[in-house]
Amino acid sequence: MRAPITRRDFLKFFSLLPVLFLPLPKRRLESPSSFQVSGQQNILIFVFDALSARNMPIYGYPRNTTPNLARFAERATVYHSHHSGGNFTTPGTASLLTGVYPWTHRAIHLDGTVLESFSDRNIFSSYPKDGFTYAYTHNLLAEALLQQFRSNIDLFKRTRELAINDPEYSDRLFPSDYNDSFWSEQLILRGGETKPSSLFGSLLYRILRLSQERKMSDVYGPQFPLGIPNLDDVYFILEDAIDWLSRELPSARKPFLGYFHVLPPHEPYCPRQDFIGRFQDDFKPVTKPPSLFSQGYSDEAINKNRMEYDEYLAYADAEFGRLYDAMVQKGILDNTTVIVTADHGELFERGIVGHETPVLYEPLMHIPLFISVPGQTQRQDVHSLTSCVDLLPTLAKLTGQPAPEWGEGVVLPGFGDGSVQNEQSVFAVEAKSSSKEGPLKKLSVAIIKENYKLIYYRGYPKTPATELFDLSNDPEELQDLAGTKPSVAADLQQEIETKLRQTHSF
Amino acid sequence: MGISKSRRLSGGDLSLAFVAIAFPVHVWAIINILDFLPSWLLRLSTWELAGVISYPLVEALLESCVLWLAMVAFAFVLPRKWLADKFVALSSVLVWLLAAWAVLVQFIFGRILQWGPAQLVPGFLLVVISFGLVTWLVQRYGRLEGWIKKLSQGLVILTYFYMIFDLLGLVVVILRNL
Repeated sequence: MRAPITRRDFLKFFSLLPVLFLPLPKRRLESPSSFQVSGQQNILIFVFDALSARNMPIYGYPRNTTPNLARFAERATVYHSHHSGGNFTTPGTASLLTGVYPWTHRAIHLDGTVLESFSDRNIFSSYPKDGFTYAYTHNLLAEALLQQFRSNIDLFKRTRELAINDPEYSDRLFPSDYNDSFWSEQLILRGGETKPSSLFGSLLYRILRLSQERKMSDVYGPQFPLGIPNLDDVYFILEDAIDWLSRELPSARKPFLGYFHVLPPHEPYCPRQDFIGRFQDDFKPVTKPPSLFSQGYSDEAINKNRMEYDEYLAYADAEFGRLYDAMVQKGILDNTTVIVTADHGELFERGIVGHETPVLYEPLMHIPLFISVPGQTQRQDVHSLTSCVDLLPTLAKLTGQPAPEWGEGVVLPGFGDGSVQNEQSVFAVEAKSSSKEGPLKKLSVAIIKENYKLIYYRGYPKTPATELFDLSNDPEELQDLAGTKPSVAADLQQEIETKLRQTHSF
Repeated sequence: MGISKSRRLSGGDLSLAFVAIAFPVHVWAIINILDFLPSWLLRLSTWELAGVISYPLVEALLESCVLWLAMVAFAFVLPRKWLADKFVALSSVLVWLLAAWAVLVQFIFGRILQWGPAQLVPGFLLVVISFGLVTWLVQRYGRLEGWIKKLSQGLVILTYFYMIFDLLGLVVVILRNL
């Protein structure tokens, strides 16, 4: 007769449960070699996090949020229909850095990283080997990507170096295994949607952090009454980063490629004292019906958040203005191509605030792009449809190299051979609930082709399969034409599905 | 010399106390690792997954060791009758109680931050009284000591499994950092 299962037997089996969750090893793409062609072009890429073109007067916004970027634009090429590859930092930044869309690089999750095959396929690996590469970011999600590319970055300035607190331990304790140890650090000390895994250590950490926050508040609180700029436990003031960059640029080893990614105007919106109240005006944005993905914000709450975002943006713009003046004064613009852009936008409509959402409306996708080449004194305006994945082939062109064979973009208008590329489609992908490898079972994809934009949802049972907008006649995306123009919707949907099949995402 | 001899704790007592102390730390860690697991499964390869699970396990081992060493140190520092004489039962039950309070604080940490002295002082007193009461109960009732020891012995097999995972985790952490 079999003995009954005892409590001890049960506990033994229970302790083995985690083993069941271990996935089998998966095949990875092979790593290609990067191309090497000599070039003598200094390039500075300055990225604002979560900067929507829709909140900038140069793109038609009524509030004067970015007067300094407007000054810079007077000697730059301004791209009026530029789009990000994703709606939050990881996919947006990864697309900008690798020149491919999220369905290809697969950095689609918060804290996600690109497939190993892209560790050596990025703007840093593509820069001529006799040049020097720099990178810095305030954003730990972007830092996870830069860590992945660090073998191609000559000077990788750590986030903490321009922060006012010491936000992490993993890069000091486990520099050879940064990303894994950082994800673990998040779980051990901070948790997230769940509690931290350390029962006692995490409490000590929280108490320590509180004490640090109080000290920082004493010093910076009067300057930043709505809170010291921060994200994920990184506290910083933009002034430090701008000062450092203004100091370093003149003495940087040349030729260089610098990637500088600052957090403002990313939430939480923490404008400096002198920007608070700047936009208490009568501006009333177009009211839009709540989305199926509404977070429940009232119009009043949305407009309050929008105003704080605009104030934070004005602060970020003022700091950019200081950098711009320093670059003019020190002659940086005479020998450096300066690119100003964003990783994704920000949304204040349809019951949604921010960018933690599956939707892909224009305020999230439409981002600024200004490129000033050495000696440029006149503004140029480009209205063609462009994407962040176009930056990589454009940089290759600027440094006299062939476009990388893996890229999904094209050389930006103004830098190519003069041929018109109106027929290009641009995409953005949100798939954080899908697996990194294998089909993307739950995702939203936006395609823009000529005047039309289709947003395609897959794996969301309560949403319509698609939404179609005519951006030339309806830039606010108010009228869904999917029912009235089914053939246009079908063609665009087919183009998305073809791309998904080509990238093994369908 | 005489003092340290009279306070010498047996190897069996030390290991039994460690087992009991490691238990709540590991249960909490594993529950929260399992909570995170679905999101990791979406985006991590097997080797990366082994890494992110290994770090918290190693941290749980470290946390258990620190608590255990603290209890051993208290046993040497405090009067013998307070802790050393009933080391296994007292160190186990005190750490379990501490863990219970820590779990509660984990859930209401945000609310505690809003508390003023009117709530903080009684809260702190309640914690202190609970430790005093539990110590007194174990000292007073020998049968209670027996039950606690029995419970600690019951956890040995389970904790062995945790230890095996911890040590595997340590190996993974070392390999990932070579």
